[in-house]
Amino acid sequence: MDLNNDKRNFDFLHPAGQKSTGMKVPEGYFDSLEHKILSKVHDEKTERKIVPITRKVYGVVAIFAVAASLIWGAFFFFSPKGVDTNLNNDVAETLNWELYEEMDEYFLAENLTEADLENIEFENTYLSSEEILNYIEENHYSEYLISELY
Amino acid sequence: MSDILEKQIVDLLASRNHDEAFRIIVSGYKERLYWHIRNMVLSHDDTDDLLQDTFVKVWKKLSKFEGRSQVYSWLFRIATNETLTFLAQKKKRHASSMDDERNDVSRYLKADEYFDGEYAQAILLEAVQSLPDKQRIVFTMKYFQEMKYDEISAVLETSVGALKASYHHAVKKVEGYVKLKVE
Repeated sequence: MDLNNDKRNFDFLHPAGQKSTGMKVPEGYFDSLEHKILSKVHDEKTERKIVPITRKVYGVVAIFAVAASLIWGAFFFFSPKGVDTNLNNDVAETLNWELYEEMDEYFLAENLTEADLENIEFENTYLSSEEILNYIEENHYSEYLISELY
Repeated sequence: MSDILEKQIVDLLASRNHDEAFRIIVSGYKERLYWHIRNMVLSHDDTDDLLQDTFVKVWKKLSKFEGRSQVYSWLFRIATNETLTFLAQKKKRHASSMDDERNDVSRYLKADEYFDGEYAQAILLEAVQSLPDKQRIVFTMKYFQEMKYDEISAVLETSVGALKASYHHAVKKVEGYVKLKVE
């Protein structure tokens, strides 16, 4: 076998001169691939939208929980002696319950300011560590590639 | 590469129709990107994972695509980087057994249900696997994908001269490897 006469071409290794590697894909793979990828991207989009808002809801709920605790504490501190503590507990529980009850999406939509919404958008960008890693990887490889190619 | 496809995608991106642009990207480039990755990693399952990750990244970056490079070179660059990252991680995981693994490619291919090639084809793939990662990429793009040097240059952001040198080295190594095994 004279490799030089093959003009540095390895076609002689392939049956009937076809440049095939012999690798194949499962039947129907490419037909179903598109749907699989579009579904995956749809899931990613949904996930990205939900996470920051969930965090925001927890934040708002936490603030109201602290506020409720303070109100309950103040109520207890300033109440005259001899008051039935069961009543105080009931008041605090009701107060908490009412505050949590109002934490529905309409309440949030009405009470989140434009600044809050901007922050949500900001979180989308800021928290995307994957984007940062991609950037590092890309740059790392560009340099590595140049050094190795020579 | 298809200029019509390229223009169609660029027009859709310009009109901020990202969903449709993405659908056309997936439909138009899935096979080329699949084989680009598969020729480097061999395993269908690994390729499937990498291809999906590639397209998810493409989607995430699509709104930031500024058209400074052609769409196809941008896509191939993302796929290449994904593959290089995967190969680097694999190399780290199997640092001690990597040489054995590379020398055992033909045996792996014989057992792979998604390989039905002949012995010579397996040897060629084994020879390609024996190349350093970057040379392997250049060889794969030039030989299997039949890409032009200027196309590879746009994808890898490397000069044509450097690519020619790299391909030359890769061919010599593959020749030597095949000669040793086939003769």
